[in-house]
Amino acid sequence: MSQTLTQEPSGSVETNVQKIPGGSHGHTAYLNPEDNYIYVSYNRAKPEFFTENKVANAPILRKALAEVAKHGKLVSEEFNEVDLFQPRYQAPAEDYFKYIAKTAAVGGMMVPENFSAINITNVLAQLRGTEERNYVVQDSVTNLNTSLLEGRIDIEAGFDVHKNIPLGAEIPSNQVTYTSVTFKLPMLGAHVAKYNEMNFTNLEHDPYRNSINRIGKRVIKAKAELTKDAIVAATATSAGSSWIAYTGGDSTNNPYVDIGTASDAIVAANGNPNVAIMNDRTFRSFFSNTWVRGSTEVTRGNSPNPGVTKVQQLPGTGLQAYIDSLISNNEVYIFDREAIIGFQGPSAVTTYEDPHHRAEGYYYWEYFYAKIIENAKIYKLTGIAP
Amino acid sequence: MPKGSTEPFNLNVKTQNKATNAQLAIGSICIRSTAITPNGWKVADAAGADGPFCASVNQTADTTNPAFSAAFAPSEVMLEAGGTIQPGSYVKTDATGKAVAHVTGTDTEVKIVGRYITKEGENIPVACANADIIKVRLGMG
Repeated sequence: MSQTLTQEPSGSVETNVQKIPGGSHGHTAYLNPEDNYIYVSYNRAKPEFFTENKVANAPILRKALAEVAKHGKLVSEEFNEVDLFQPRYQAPAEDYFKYIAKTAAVGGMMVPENFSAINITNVLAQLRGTEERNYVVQDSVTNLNTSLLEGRIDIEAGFDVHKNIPLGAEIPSNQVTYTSVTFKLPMLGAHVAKYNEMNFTNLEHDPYRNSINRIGKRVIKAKAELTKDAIVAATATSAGSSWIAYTGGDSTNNPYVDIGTASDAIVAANGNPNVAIMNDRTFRSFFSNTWVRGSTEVTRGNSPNPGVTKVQQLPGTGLQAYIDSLISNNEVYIFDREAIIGFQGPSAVTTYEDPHHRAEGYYYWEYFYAKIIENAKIYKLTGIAP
Repeated sequence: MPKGSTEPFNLNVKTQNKATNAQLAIGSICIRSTAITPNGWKVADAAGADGPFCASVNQTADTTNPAFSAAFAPSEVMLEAGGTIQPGSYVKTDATGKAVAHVTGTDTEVKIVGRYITKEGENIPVACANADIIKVRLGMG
């Protein structure tokens, strides 16, 4: 209790009656000199010394407060036998003491800030910052499974039927011919290792397990990059035209002309152009080109989730478009899916223990090779969207 | 890998003595200290100090700890570069326990701490720059 007792300059009836400041909600405390008890009054103007308003014996309360201030608690045995407050006010008084005591570090009602040293931070199980980007370049080629690391893939040259054979003349013989491309699969792999002490550390996340879990996703990225490296090595290259340049209100260049040039070259090499791969920025340039969307017509396509990897039909061409940010935004590759092979070799997993250093590890490795086997059936357009 | 980590293979990590009045920072090139009894190791404090060498790995040994984890040849450890080093080059220590290029023909062989392999995050060896975290194969091999 922090209230102090002050003298109230009042009328004759209230001589020696002391008003205790600090009341609220229309309550006022008075000291009755006749019985030395503190009374609560619901009338701010004058004391109400009714029995039901009797709160506490003033001398005993003063002594109790002095002890609490000095020792932090009641120490005199006399308080074992005495109630500081009348029964009716015991509970509110205790509530008040608890309110006062909540900022005390010793004793009192426990509040979280008193225990910041042992406060357990709620770390969410969800991790942020993990790369969840998808890659589709590796799906744009023909994928072949092979159990051996070295091999040869044969390519059949065309077979032509003879035409305009005169009456009675023999039909000349003919046969297919073959060329071949050899391949040797290089390895890609991941290795995660930890000391045994990691098992006995109370980490909210398990970096070892998380690292192993990430391998699968990152293998896809590695394959996409290897496939991209193979595709961009295409030797049949043509300077395309800017799909985003404007002259007046119309696009300067027609994307279908560039795509047609590439397709004609692939068909001339006995290929079947069916795939286009490009960056999403290039894809957006395609749709915004007035030769594609028309100056007044409804747009013929769009790029949902700009920048995000996706697979769509390239409107007006029939080509399957693989949109992947691994590809330079300045280039478009059009090819026959059969012209590039993604050789999927064997994969393996093993774990090991190193008892000498109390360590353990996890290995994953896989053999993969992407290779252009028919150079004439992949066409690279440059200068598309600088 | 972070500074002071080791490649799991060819690992050769032993307990070694250090002074108990100073920390021994992780990922440092260490030279012998005869100021403590029995003799131990300290972070190299002179540029181009002579060997023998070891590298402090796995954790910073705190002040009161009389010992630390010392990687010896042929361990491959992650250290901090004190300057540009070309792949395959021998390295020596600078005045703060970082790796700098050893100049063959100028520096004596006893100054060779190890051989620079490549820097952190690179599979194909590239030259490192000052403050890069680099992989060094300890020893002259």
